[in-house]
Amino acid sequence: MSDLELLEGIKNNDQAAFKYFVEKYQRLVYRVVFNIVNDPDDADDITQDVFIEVYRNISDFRADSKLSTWMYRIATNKALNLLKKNRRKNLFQRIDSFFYSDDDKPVQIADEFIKEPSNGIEQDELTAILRKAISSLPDNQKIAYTLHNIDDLAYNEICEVMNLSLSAVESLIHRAKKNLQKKLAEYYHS
Amino acid sequence: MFEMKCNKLYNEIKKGRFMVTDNNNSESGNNPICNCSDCKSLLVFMHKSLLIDNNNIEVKPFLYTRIMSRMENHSVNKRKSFQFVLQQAYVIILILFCVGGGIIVGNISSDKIISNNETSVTKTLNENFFFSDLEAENNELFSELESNN
Repeated sequence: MSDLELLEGIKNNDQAAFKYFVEKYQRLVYRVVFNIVNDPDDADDITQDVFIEVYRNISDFRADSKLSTWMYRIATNKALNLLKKNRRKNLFQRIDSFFYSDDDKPVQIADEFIKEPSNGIEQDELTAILRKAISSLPDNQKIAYTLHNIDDLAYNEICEVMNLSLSAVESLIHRAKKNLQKKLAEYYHS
Repeated sequence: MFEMKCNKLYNEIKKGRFMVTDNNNSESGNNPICNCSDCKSLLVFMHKSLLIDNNNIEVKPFLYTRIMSRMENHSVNKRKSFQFVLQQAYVIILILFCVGGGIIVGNISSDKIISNNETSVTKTLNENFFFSDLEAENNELFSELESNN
């Protein structure tokens, strides 16, 4: 079933078409969202939100861009909204903990990786470290970097998803790489 | 597993000294990354691991079912909230109607009372103050006067 047929099916309230559509795009949406929010439960919730929004606003899709690009845009916007919401919540929690909590030690990225000494490096550990470093990037850089380096989107596709010019996307990705390098090397300064 | 001779980066990570800060704007001239091939390949390995990890990400099962149930719940909630709004509106309209009705009925009855009072006052005034002296005068008195004259 092509995307156009799927779209027509969904517009005509064809449940089978929508089911096929969800199964076709669920991994793509979930991965994009997970790479931004870095939490499986949040990613799952947002994935559901994305498909619900697609179902409700399918008539608004003008097919100027690819369906996947539209999905990427909705997914990144929803993920960004969640990050902003979480940041506001964290701010209130921090204000709260400032008054009430006594053990607010800063969370270090390596906290969860101090394990038994071993000769080799576990892949999972490294992945988690890199994920943490990516999640600490500014939102725009994080999205541009993950879309390009992890989801393997071309620059022009990222431009459409993020609604930015090519030079802006290039600059974001460049700055993201520099920042990541800095973050991965920060221990030398400490 | 990734084996490397230079464990500088990894040892520091294990000691907990690898910390991510939000200091994105600090422009340090010298790049402190260990430039040895081991550390560089560690970074490459990290990125590859991330890509592999990304490919292994699996969505929780029955996503479609969960989406549909959420949409149904949402429409039920929407219907419920619509019903709730309708109920509220009905109660408000009923209260307004009762209050308005009460005011109207009150006005009508007070008008009646006032008009009743007005007629009684007029009556009283007529009876007490506006009677003619001549009318009230006993006619017999005049006749008596005439006869006396």
